[in-house]
Amino acid sequence: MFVYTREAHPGENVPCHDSFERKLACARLLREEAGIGREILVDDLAGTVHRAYGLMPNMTWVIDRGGRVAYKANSTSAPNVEAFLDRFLAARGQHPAGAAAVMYETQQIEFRHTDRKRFTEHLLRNGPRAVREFEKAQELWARRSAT
Amino acid sequence: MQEIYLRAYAAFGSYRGENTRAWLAAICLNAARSQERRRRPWEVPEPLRYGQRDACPFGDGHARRHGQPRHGRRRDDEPADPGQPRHRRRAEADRGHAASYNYSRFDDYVAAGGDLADEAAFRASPRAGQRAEDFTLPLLGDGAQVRLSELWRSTPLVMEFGSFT
Repeated sequence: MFVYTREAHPGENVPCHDSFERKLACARLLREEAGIGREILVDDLAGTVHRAYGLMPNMTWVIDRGGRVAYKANSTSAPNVEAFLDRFLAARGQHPAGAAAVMYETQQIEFRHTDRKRFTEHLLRNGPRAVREFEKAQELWARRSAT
Repeated sequence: MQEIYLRAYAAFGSYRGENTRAWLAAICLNAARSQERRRRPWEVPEPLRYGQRDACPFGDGHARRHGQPRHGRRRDDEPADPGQPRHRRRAEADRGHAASYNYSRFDDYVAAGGDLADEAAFRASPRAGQRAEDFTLPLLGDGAQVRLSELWRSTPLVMEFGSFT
């Protein structure tokens, strides 16, 4: 399931949402252009669900049956999610005779490789302003990390 | 229930020996309210508003910790026009809330610390092992209302959040 949120990098072509109708239109455009085959849920204009789950622009959550959070990542890595699901479902489903499945919690730092060229193309799709603003943000981040 | 009795034990000094049931019920109600506040941090108004000097870009909780007044039932982005009906004032406040969420410039958002506030919101969101929040959202296409708990009822639900970028 994909949850469509606010536009993280609004630009001239894909602006920030000022109405729910515009948000729906942007979500349709994204589905068509990105070829998202999964079903898409559209959050409300104030981002109620996005706020509840942590406001990061491209995060992934796995909710186990019954509603317990099984996995949360502040950035999406499809191989990581798949590997987690394989491990999680296998461990929950079967265990050696005489052994019990005991739940424990982990917290990890992971790395993923971003395709900067592709990301810039996406920014450009939103509009040249989105590229310029991202470059400015990078300067701000550099200044922040220097202090 | 355990928390109620722990609270009752801690507050036993204040018990004046009158109606025990009412006393325990009050403790129970306060515990439930506290739990609800912890469980729903996103309901605290998040005044990330540009052009307002007193707004705290890191959210209301941050503002409270730093001595600014708590936003109560009436949000401070509501117009102070007593002539307007309450529902209209609320609608205007909701529009302001949506406008601050849907920022128009990413660099301004970062400059105001919005990205840091988002990271903090993620850290404050439910942890692994805790119950996920349930919502109903419209499905793109036919607009059917989908309840998340229906999706995770029998199989795990993978939810990816995103936009064009």
